[in-house]
Amino acid sequence: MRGCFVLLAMAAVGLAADPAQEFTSNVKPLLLQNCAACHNPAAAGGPAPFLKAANVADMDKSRGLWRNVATQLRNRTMPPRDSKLAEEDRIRIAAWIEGQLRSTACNTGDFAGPAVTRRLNRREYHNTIRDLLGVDYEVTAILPADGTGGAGFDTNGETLYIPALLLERYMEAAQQILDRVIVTPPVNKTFDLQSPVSIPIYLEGPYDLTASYESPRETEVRLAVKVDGAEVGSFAKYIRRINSARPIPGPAIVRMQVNLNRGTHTLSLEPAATAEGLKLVSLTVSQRSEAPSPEKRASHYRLFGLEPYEQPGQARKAAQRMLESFLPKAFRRPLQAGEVDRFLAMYDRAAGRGDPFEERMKLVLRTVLVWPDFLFRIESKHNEPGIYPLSQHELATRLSYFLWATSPDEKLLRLAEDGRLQDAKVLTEQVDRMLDDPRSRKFYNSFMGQWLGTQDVGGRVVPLLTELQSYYTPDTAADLRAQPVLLLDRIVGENRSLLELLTADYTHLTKRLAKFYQMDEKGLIDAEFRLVQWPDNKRAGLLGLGGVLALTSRYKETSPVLRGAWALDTLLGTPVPPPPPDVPELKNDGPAKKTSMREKLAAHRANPTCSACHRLMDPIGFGLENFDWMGRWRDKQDNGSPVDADGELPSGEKFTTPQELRTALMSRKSEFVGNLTARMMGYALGRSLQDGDDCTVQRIAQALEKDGYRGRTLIREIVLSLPFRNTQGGASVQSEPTLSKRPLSISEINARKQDASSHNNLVKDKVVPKR
Amino acid sequence: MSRRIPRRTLLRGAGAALALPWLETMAPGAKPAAGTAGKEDRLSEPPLRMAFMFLPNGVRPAQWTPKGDGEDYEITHHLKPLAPFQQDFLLLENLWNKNSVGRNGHWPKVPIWLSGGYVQRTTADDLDTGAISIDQLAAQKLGHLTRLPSIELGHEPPRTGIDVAGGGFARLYGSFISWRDRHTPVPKEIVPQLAFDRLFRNNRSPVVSSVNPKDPSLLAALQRDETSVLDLVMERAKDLKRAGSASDRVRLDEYFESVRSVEQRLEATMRPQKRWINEGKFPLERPGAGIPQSHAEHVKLMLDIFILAFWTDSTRIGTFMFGDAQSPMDYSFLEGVRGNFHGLSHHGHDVATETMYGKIIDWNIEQLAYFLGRIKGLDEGGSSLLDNSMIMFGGTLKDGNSHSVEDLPILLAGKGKGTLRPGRRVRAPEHTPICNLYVEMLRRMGLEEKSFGDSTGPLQGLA
Repeated sequence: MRGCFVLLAMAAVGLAADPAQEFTSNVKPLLLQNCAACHNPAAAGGPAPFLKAANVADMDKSRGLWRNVATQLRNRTMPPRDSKLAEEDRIRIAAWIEGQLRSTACNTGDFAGPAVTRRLNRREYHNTIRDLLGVDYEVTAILPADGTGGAGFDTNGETLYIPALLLERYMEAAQQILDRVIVTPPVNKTFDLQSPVSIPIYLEGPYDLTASYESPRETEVRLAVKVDGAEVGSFAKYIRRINSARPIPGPAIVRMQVNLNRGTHTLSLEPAATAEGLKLVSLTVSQRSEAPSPEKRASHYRLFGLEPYEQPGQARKAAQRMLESFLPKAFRRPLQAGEVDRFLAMYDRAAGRGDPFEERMKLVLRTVLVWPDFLFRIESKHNEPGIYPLSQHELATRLSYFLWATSPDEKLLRLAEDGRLQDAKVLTEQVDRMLDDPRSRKFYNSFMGQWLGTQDVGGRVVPLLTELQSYYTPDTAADLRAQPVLLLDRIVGENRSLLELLTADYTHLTKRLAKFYQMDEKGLIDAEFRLVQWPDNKRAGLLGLGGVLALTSRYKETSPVLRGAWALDTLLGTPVPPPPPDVPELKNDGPAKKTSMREKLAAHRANPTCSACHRLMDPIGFGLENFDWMGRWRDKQDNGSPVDADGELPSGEKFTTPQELRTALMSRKSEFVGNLTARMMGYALGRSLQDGDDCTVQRIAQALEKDGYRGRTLIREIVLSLPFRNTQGGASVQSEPTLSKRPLSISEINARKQDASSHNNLVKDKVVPKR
Repeated sequence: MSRRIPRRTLLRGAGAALALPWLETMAPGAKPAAGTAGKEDRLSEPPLRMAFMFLPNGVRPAQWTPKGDGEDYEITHHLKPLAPFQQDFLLLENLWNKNSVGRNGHWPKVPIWLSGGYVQRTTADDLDTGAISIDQLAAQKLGHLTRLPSIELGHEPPRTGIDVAGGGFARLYGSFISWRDRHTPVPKEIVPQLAFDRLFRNNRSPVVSSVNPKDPSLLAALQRDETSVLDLVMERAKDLKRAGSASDRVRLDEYFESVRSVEQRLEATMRPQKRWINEGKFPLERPGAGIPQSHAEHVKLMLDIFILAFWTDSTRIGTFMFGDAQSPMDYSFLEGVRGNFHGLSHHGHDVATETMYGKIIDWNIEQLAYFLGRIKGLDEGGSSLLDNSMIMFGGTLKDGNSHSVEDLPILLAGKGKGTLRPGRRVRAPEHTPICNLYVEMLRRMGLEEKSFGDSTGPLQGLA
């Protein structure tokens, strides 16, 4: 296989050479030349003393510092702008350092990583509520979307904030959810009107007010109805004169309807001044309600073991029993002593004011649904350094949120209670059981959609435009989003090789998609995806999917740069350096249509500062030029000339087709597998990976290599890995709890200092060009 | 002497009979009912309001900056929709954020628009913008005076992922201009109905507001359930904080702060606050659920809710985003426009593309004109809501195509209750920190801060 890949080729060359040699003869001299002015190794103190490392083994003593060096080189924050360090060398050295750190990752010993307290994200909240209470609650209406953070996933605890706004929403959501799950007997109360009327209203909605009064005269009676002191309407009744001599027999009845919201309300009736001798007798408030639906009866029964309106014999005892069985499920762990009592205090509050049983329980359960132990996945902390296994329940929780995005089911809970879950064989069985269950689709969906970025296709990205609707509709967009998900589903489901993510000669199509791809629609329907062989080798794997190709284009124009950067970063995990901040605008000579894409990007090749990075990205993108901006095949470019999908890599390798490009990527499969492993680990652990995790990533990648890169193997290995089943004890960060004064690690402090000084240099040098 | 609430208003949709203060503000010619808010609960004059409205993706400089030097200027193309209000705003020039210089793209510029901080390039394991934003500083000091300390509205949901090719920043950065502290964004509401409800639903005033709030029956009332729940939750949160590790504490701290904040808000609604009560009606019904299909409708609805928030004195501080950073909002609904905002902003001087880009900016300025026109027409006892406000509008880029950051497009509308002298252009010295403007705005709100962000002194020439 003659595809060798540029930057990685260079890194590979670097690694193949003896690292000690490479460090001493190549890396260190260049760093000394460019950095020693400020980072003098001979000086006693001084910032970031990385140059003190005498040989490659010394790097192990300050790994964080060296990682910082690589990051600064990549981001061009160090050395400062006036440095003579060539772009090429910058990238080469950074890559070498990172490669070196990766390959020596296991030198630092076992690493399990910290446990991060993670709030349930929106998806997990929805699923957990569904499994706990049996209601499918529409979360997108009330809870804001979660951003994604480190490791790029919305499972990441570091960016799952919980601002006050969100807490308000959780409180409101809890009320709405419980109103749907529990049947409260409708209000129907009659008051005599001698004293002010105060009534608690539990459920928002329409209420009938019926007033009866006695009047000695036939007269128009007008009664103003006031709720909480404000008039909401009036009763008006015309009494027809039957016989002016005879008094009206019995009280008269008037009715009106008013909407009342939840709360305790005062009601009063005030007659207009002209009503003399009018005697108000009574006021009845009755709720308009319908019979509960079968679903609601079922969810009510599931919680209480009672039919709607059925009252328990000993209410408080019933409440206690219910909590003792419900709370462990809600908090995903066994109860602590006295925990139920706290919630019974809420029960007593509602009981004290005369609420019906159901409403007392609603107050209790509302408290449960905003309790931190419900909203957060909390894992126990250990202050002494060391590696500690997760508790059985903590492991069950991690596993179920990883593969099903919901709270642990009965089977997992039972295994946890029996203390059997931390066993490798049992864990493996559970992984298989869970992956065989259709609920695992949630995992494939959210992982792929976020990893690739395809979850936004048809929304923010690749929006639906009227001009495309002949082949691109909202349903097509949904189908395009589904394709990568189905690919992973098949690979893991049938335990096939993960390399098929790059090479699969098959895909899943609906009739709509066949139309999109301009393929034969025979045998396909829209209602269902069918497994189809690609008719030729033009498309294969992820880089052949319309969703991916459209994602990496601009409006009406392909972008080799975006596609190249995407492939490098998303597939191979090679960090793509950001563009220099003051890139001058691309000159446009003449109307855009005349120049070919290659010519337009010629400037990238001409300027050595640009080409250092662009020769990594652009060739991949050129290799995909046969796919237009929507990912459909084309043989001609926008300017009419035939597509020129040729690429030449700096090492001299040439390719002319997407297939040859794929071959080149395949030769770097170890990078691909390592990257996929790291991403999925980040997703599963819900935190950014740290230096020590590299060891685990290596181990898993090796296990995969020995096992044909099978899908299930990856997931099983992640679940069985040290970081997944354990946490690290001891404080890596000093204690100081308040938010804005969160202490920085040494590397962060240094990064800030250096970043700050380099950017000050920029300002002093007046980088901003005059216009 | 009693006030009439049309039954229609109450029976509309799920709109229920809301508690007293809201009813006060909804009724035409309303006066407080007997036994309710008395004179001592009312302010004698309208309060000063402060708003910040953000437009992403820059402008076309030649269409924004007028020629010449003097205070008088000829309205330029972009500012044309604001021509009727030329006497109501100050055109500010030469302001910038020096910490935007030399930083890639949009992400490191937008979060510091209101703070002058410095955005760290992280993979979002620790967002850090370097400083608190001005609106949140004001909210912390003045927010207790109103039902809501501040309001944040917009129309785009937060974005995901790391923009590798665009500088290596988390896209999450670009969704927020309000930062509670350097690490914590304040989310904005994008769903109209929820934003509307937040102004009113949370207002659980006591059954009869003249009753002693410590009255046992009141303490037991349904309205006080939330605070009881939160009291209990706080205890648990404290336990966890004690037991937690340092990294846990950040998240649990935030939870704890949020619980406390919500509780304080609820408590505040129970206590009569000295509020400004506008007796006119602002005709806005409770919006339907979800997000409107039409972007124009969505923006207009959110602007109306923003106005309602000020009009009902639910808050005096707000931020509004006409788009998130690098907004990819598709504007093909505009006549003659094909494409998305960010895409078109990089026009490369192609005339057709640049024209379409210009149209998008013009349309957004028209929405601003609608907003200013509306608040100018609302009388607050002799002065208009616009007179009593300071509304800053602008962005973090001058030239959207080249991402220039000098001489940002900024205007300040309103009279600031007589403390601003609009109708002029104010040209600050070159490279004046925008935080100098913020120092002046804070001072007018009653907060004497010697400095804010990277300010070098108060901005001259506003009055």
